[in-house]
Parts: sequence; C-alpha cells; structure tokens
Amino acid sequence: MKRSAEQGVGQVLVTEARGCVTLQDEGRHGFQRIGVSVGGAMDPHAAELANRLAGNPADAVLIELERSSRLALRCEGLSRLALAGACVPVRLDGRPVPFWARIETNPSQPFAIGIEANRESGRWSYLALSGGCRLVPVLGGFGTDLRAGWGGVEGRVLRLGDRITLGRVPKQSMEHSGRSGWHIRSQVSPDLRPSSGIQARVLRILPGSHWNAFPPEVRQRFLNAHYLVTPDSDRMGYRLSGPLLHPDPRLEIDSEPVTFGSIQIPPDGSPIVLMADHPTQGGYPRLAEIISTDLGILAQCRAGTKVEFRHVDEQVALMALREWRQGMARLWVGLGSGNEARFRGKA
Amino acid sequence: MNWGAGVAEAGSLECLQLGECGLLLRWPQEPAPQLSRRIRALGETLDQKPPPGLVEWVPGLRSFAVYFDPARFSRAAWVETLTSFWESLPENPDLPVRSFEVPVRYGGDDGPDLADAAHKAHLDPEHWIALHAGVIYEVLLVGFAPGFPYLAGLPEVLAVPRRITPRLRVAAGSVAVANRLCGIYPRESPGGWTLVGRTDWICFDPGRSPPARFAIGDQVRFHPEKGFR
Repeated sequence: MKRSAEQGVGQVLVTEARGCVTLQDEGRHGFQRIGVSVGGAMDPHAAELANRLAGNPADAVLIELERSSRLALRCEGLSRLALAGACVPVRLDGRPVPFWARIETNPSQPFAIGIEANRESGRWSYLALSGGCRLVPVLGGFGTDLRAGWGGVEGRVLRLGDRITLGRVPKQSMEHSGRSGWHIRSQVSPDLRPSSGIQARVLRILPGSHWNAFPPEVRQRFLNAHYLVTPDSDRMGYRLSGPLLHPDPRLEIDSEPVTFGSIQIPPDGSPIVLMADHPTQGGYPRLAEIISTDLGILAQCRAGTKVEFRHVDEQVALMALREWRQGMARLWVGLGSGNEARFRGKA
Repeated sequence: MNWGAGVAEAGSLECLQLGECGLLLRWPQEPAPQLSRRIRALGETLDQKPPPGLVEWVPGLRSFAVYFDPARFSRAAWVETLTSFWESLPENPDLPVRSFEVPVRYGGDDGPDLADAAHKAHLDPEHWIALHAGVIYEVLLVGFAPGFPYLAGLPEVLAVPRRITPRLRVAAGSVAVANRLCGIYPRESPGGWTLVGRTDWICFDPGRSPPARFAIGDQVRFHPEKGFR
C-alpha cells in the first residue's frame, strides 16, 4: 500500500473482513423528522471510551464488530489505538492487545491488526484509531445504516480491499517515545468499565408514554420477571421472551416518535426494545424507556442472557448520566488531551 | 396539562417522558391536517429559537417529541417553552402551499391488493381507482422510513384495516392504504399496508436538499397512468 505523504494522516487497508463490521459514530441527528434513523454505535459508552482513549473526540468514527465477525487491517501512520466493548482476542503485530487501554504505536511503522470472532461474553466490540476514520457525511452523520444503504463505506459492511483514511492528529500527540513497536500507555480504571459478569443484567427504566395504559398487575409482572434476549435481535431491536404483557384493549395508538431504549409491546405481548437502528415512528404501545446510561448493558447481551427491569426515578437517571460524563471528563484530563477541537477526524 | 406518564383525562394535552433525554407531547384529538400543520409550525419555531441543548425534534401523527441534553435545559424548562410556543401559534398556521401530482400504475403486480380492497369496498376496481385518484390528499407526517408520507383524505368507503400479517417485502414506490391513511413506500421494506399501485416517483434522495420530496402540509393527487389493469 502506498505510504501517505500527508504527515499525521493514517491509512488503513482491510485485509480480511467477515460478518457485521461497520463504521459507526454517535448517530445521525436532525433528520428523524423525515424518517431517517439515528443509528450509531450499539454500545455508545464503549464507543466513547474507545475514542477518548485513542485521543479522539467522543463522536469520531470508529470500527464496530459484532461478536461473530473477524477483521484484519494493515495500518500506516497510526499513533494510537484503543479497544472497548466485548473483549475479543486482538493481536497487534502478533502480540495480544488489552482492552480498555490507550495503546501508543510508532507512526513511522506499519502495523497489522487481527481481530478474531468473540467466544466470550458480550456482543459489540469497538476499535478506535487515532484521528478517527475520515468519511464524507450523509445527512449529517457518518455511521453505516445498512438498511438505508448509506454512511460508512458505501452503506455496507467492511470488506477485503477497503481503504480508510484517518483524520489528522495534532502534532503534540504524535510525539512518540521513539520506541519501536507499540506499548500500553494508560488503562481505564475498572469503575468506568461496564460489568462483564454472567449474572442477570438489571436495566433501569422510566415509565414509557403508555405506562398508564397497562393495568397495574401487568406493570408489576414486567418488573418482577426475568426476560431472555432472543436470537431474533439485531441493530434495530432486541426481542425479549418472558411473561406476556398486554395493555388495556381500548388503547388506540397513532404512529408516535420512538427512541433507542423504547420498550414496545406488539400484539403478541412479547416486549421489543428498540435499538440504535430503530425506525423513527412506532405504532405499538410503549411500556417503558431504558435510561440512556444502561443502553450499552442491554446492547452487550447475547441471545439467552437474562435481563430484569427496575423502575427508577428520573433523578436517578439524570445522576447516572452526570456520573458517566464526569468519569469521561476525568479520563480525558488524566490522558492529558485537552485540545479536543483539533482532533476532529472527519472530512 | 397532564404530567403523568400515560393516559390523560379526556381532552387534555399530555406531556410525557421519553427517557430522561426526551419529552413527548400528545394531543387528544384525531390526526388531522390542521393539527399536523400546527405541529410542523411548532418544530419550525424551535428551529428559529432553539433552546440550549436541543438535539432534535420529531413530529408524530398527533404528537411531538424533542430530544435534549437535560444538563443544559431541564425538563420543566422544556415543558414551559414548548407550551408557550404552542399557545403562541395560530390554530391553522399558513404554510407555503405545494401541490404534487403523482403518477400511479394501479392494480396487477404493481398493486396486488387492489382487487381485494375493491371487493371489501363493494366496488369494481375501476370505480375504486376513480375514487382514490379523485381526491386531494394532505401530508400529515413524514416518517417511519426515510421520506414515507402519511396522507390524509382517503374516502371513507376505501378504508381498510392493516394486514394482520405484514409482508416481509414491499416494493419501492408502492402506493398503499391502511385505515383512513394512504402512503407511498420510498424504498423496499417490510410493510403491513394494503398495496393498490406503484409509482416511479422517488420520495427520498439523501444527496438532494431537502432529501424528502414531501413535507407536512403538501397537497397530493394521484394520477392513474394509462394502461392500468
């Protein structure tokens, strides 16, 4: 591959790609009013962490892999990378790389990255590369929308031979120790990493826009039971199986805006949680909304994972959001990267 | 104003949570052109005077969502702003009138449910088409899929319920009816509406500005193409 003449700009060549490997960002906002999905990373927190660790702004474009995917890349001009989300075996020039860490690489060296299919827990893995992937925006966003066929690379999954240009990286962050190869610079404290046990996941909810149209005993059943994530789950929605839930039969629904985390109850009574690629309007009653801090926890659940729901006060949701942001700000300061505006890895 | 998360007492505007970063207004009346136009005007008011932390607004058939950063502008402040904007709008706002005539091939492979729809309405297909193409529709909402217009104005005699089992594949450009609404599928997708015809019109192009052909308040008329079966 041709060495980039532009200083501080990395190049990536895809040498193997299998499964659902896409480029994602924080989503496409402002066009839901004409039916365009927001999309973006399925686990927004893992994606933000990976970007922050790589020295990128939170909304830089990064690589998302679903659990059964494989990916191999050849990179040039790379100064940093970071991995977050579902832990999968990743090798950088043949050596295993840890997740949740800033990895510094010598930008004058080419690197080979290999990511294997995930046999452990979790579902979505994120690889952020210094500068972020540079793309042409579609409708104000960069993420791949597979259904619409736009965003990312030609609106599709990555494949062999794709080339990705990385964004410019500021000079000070290019100052490499001079060591050849790569090394771990800093790791994220465990309190910022999502829990990765196999115990039932507790998802905190707020009442949905039809909460009161469900009889009290139905709402209680929903809050007391376990639900299983079914195999019929994807970037658009996760279907759950468990006790059936039915609203007051007199309820009439007209299409209404829905969002990532809306829990819809279709006529069969089995809940569907809308995920990143949800349609903009929903025609089924909405029982609850998962708080934004817990969306990634559900996203990482594989088929067969048990989930349960806990009704919380809005103040709890706001506090959780504030704590996450404070954690990110501490991480950012701790990494010594203050000049966010100069990192924008976008065309 | 009802603050609960659910069913309001009859006749009042509900103000509901859509997670901690969203808010949904829901009006008690039936979906109708006048309500939709005022909802569009509410969105345009937000575009002109965006409160801090506005992420985006999304209209529904008789609802309106805003997504926002609660750290920048609280829910209480949002409710106050939205209700004051809403009350300042005229009941029937003036919108630029745009009219479109959409050519449709009715029946056959293009509209596989036409015969069934005509049968249910106790009409022959030609009569059904004449009624469907004989009225002016108004766009109530664009959404569900990129550029999909929800059209009001379907004659009552042509109304059909949604299919019990949605089709897995509806062709792009399909003209369809469900209950008292008519719509055009902008791209191939699953769908539960009754398919009566098809158009070559492109309803959505991400490279065009604006990307959606239709906007709330547009007037639409269907024009049967010659040679329909």
